[in-house]
Amino acid sequence: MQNLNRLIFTFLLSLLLIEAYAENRDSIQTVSLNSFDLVQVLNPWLISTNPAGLSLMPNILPGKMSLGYLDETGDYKRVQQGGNINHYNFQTQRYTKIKNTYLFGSFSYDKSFEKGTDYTNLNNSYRETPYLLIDTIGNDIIDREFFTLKGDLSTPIFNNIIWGFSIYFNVGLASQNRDPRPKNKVLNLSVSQGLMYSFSKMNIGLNLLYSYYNEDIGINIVEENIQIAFFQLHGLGTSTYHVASSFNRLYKRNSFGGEVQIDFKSGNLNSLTGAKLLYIIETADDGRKASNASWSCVKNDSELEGIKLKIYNTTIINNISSIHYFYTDLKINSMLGTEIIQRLEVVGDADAQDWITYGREEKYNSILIDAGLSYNYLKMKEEYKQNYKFKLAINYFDFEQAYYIPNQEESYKNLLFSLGFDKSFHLKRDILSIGAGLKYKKNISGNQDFEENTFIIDKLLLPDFNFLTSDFYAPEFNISYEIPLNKFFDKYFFTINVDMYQGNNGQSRTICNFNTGVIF
Amino acid sequence: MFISCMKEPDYRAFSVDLTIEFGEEIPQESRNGAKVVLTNRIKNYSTTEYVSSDGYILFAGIEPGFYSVTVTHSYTVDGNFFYFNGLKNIDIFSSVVDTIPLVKSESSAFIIKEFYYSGCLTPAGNQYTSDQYVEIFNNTQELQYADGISVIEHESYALDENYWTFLLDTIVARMIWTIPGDGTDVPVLPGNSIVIARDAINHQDDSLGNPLCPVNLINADFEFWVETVSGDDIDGPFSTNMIEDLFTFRGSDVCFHTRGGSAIALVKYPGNHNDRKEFIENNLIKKDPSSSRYYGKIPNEFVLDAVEVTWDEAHAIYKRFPIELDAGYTYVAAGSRSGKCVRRKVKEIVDGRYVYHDTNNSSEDFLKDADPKPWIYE
Repeated sequence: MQNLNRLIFTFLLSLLLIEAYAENRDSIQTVSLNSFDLVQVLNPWLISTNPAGLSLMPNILPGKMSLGYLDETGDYKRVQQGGNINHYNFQTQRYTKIKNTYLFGSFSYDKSFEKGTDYTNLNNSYRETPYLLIDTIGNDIIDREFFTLKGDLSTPIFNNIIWGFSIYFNVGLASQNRDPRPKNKVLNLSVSQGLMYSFSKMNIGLNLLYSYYNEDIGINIVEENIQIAFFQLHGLGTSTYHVASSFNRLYKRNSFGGEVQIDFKSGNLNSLTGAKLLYIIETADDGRKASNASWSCVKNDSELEGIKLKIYNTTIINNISSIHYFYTDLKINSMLGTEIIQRLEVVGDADAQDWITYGREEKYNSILIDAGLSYNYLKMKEEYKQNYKFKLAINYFDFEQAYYIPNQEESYKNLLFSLGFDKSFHLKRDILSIGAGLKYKKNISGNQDFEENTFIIDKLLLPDFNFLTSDFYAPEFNISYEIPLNKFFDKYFFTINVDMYQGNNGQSRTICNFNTGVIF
Repeated sequence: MFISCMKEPDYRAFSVDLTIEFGEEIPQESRNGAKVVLTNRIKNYSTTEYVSSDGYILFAGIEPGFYSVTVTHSYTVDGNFFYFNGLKNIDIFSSVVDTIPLVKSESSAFIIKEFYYSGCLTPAGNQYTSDQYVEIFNNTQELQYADGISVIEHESYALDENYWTFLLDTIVARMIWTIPGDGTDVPVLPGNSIVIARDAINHQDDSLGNPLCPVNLINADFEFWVETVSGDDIDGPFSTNMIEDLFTFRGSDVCFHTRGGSAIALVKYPGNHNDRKEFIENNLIKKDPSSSRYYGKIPNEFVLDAVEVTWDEAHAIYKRFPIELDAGYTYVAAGSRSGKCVRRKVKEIVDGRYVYHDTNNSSEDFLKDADPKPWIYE
């Protein structure tokens, strides 16, 4: 943890130095809250994973430092989510340019308390794996503390060739307050480097991606002489269990892949198409410190392999006074789960024990298809100054998962419609923005077919399925106010966002978000 | 790699070909219908099949793993019930052919018909547990005497693994209460029962009671009454007090675990009152050498009937009674303070006399979330 603190401090110092240097610039436009959305519209490469695309930044390089508070309350939620979340956040981010090199850096500190969680010993139970670890003693509070660093760099290396590098580093600790008490040490690291070649009206890009996720879970029971059952879920209601007074689990996920991009720009048209392919392999290993087993005597629980494919296109028609922004994407995630059947046995002459593998069984698969189409119309007051924005989007979501012997199946399809409008009022030097939107989710179909019924199905799968296949509507409102500052920073701002989810099952959930800070 | 992830899982399935060895004791005509449960020991599911009289059974499409096979079988001859159980662990990583011998399971004359432990709520929303009771039923066609029968509560509340598995053919109790009498003082007619109340009062009307209580126990036959200097325990006016033989966590009253931690059994110690006292005295055991708490060791052969009551499915893995006493488990799914109980299922009615299931498997024998109905047979 000391090394981590040192790293964070060094990174923060670097950011401050970059920002101090950037204060001397003279070609940067005055920025506002809308600038952060606007740069994504004006530089579509920012939605790609290729850091080389940062070099195509418009003549606007915003920075922001903010404090945030989020409160999420309500019973319209998934089973393993808490009924209430209090989230505190400090974030600073900055685009900047040093000579020919473009840089982006961000740091965030997140502290949250998720209250009333049941059936989870993971930091995030909805992390695309069926191999969860749960206990049956609920009503926990998960206390999380996370740090995130992100840095992008893009610089020309030859004529028409730009090289880019990016790093994402997220580390933190999640802990629960009641027996059994998991402490989840989470590390998430992603690196990418890419190239972009420009000729005529085209930009072509290629970047490689690697990421590593590590979640090391150590669970203790403070009360003496108590053992409880830890259930290692294997998908769709199936599980194994171990009874122990402590438990350890280690998730390790490696992802490898790449993305190609092609960008066509002519006049006021800019169209970027990309395709990303990732191969994922994740292992879950268990250990116990109790009785006759220890963490050094590791039991291999499962292995999850997956392929993630994403194809997207973003097309922008920029008429200066107005911008049409189209975005469409298709994501296909396919996962294959393998259970590793082992038994603790005495091996050798010294009565040592080890887990002996009896079989590796491919038992689970899932496929997710997520397609989206959105259109944004931005009416500008002047260049880089937004007057109003209108957004329309539709998403199609299709998920199927199956477990074999006992044969268990679940599938559902949803449509999500989104509508939003945001208007900025320029009051002399201040800016008041008011926005409203509506999301509506419509379930198209849902099917569960379980050959065997277990308490996990009753307690987890059925209520979760009811949530996932329920319809909801969610009005959202946001308001922000920006006041110009004369020294050091461009503006002070605050924003308030409220999302109110109302399910057709009578449940509801409200998310309130307050942010305040400075823009520079 | 891409192809491997997009394909269907390449899973294996095997067949398990079992032969049930009925032995010579079970007549050919009574062999039909033995229940065979194949349970995956590291997962939480099982598959059930019924055997025809030839004793062969085939489980097809079984996933690889470590399994147990339990066989339960019963039949009647001239009104007498005979129960048999079989158990074997098998590893299935290829197709299996095996045999399971059956062992005769002794059925008791007295069984636990109802166990009400969940308690209920008062109008103010407070927990009320004074109305807990155990009902003991004469499941035979003959007059039986209940005096000398002890009601015991297992030491473990099923919060963790049974600590006492190192004691062979023995269970360990934290509480032993015995029906007083010399052997012929408490007759119970065929198809009749006696109720042992925690507090033998009319819970619905008494000033110390609860109008929302589901039972009136003023006429309970016996009562768990704890004699203390403070006199905190209510002493019902019409019931006879049980004999306190062992009460490890002695408090002002007996209280069963309202969430389902109390696994209970009926025990008959050999000999008379003094023999029982002496046996209990000589068979005490401590869990922790530094502790002053003693528990009672009870040989399995003394147990007449046992009910593995537990909290819920998740806690069912903390099994306390061995399979020969109770091959299953039961619980009040509605939970603590629900006013519900576990009640034995009716097997048949013979000339107006109710006969309850007693296969020594609570999962099979008991109804969950039944309304408490002492002295009522249905």
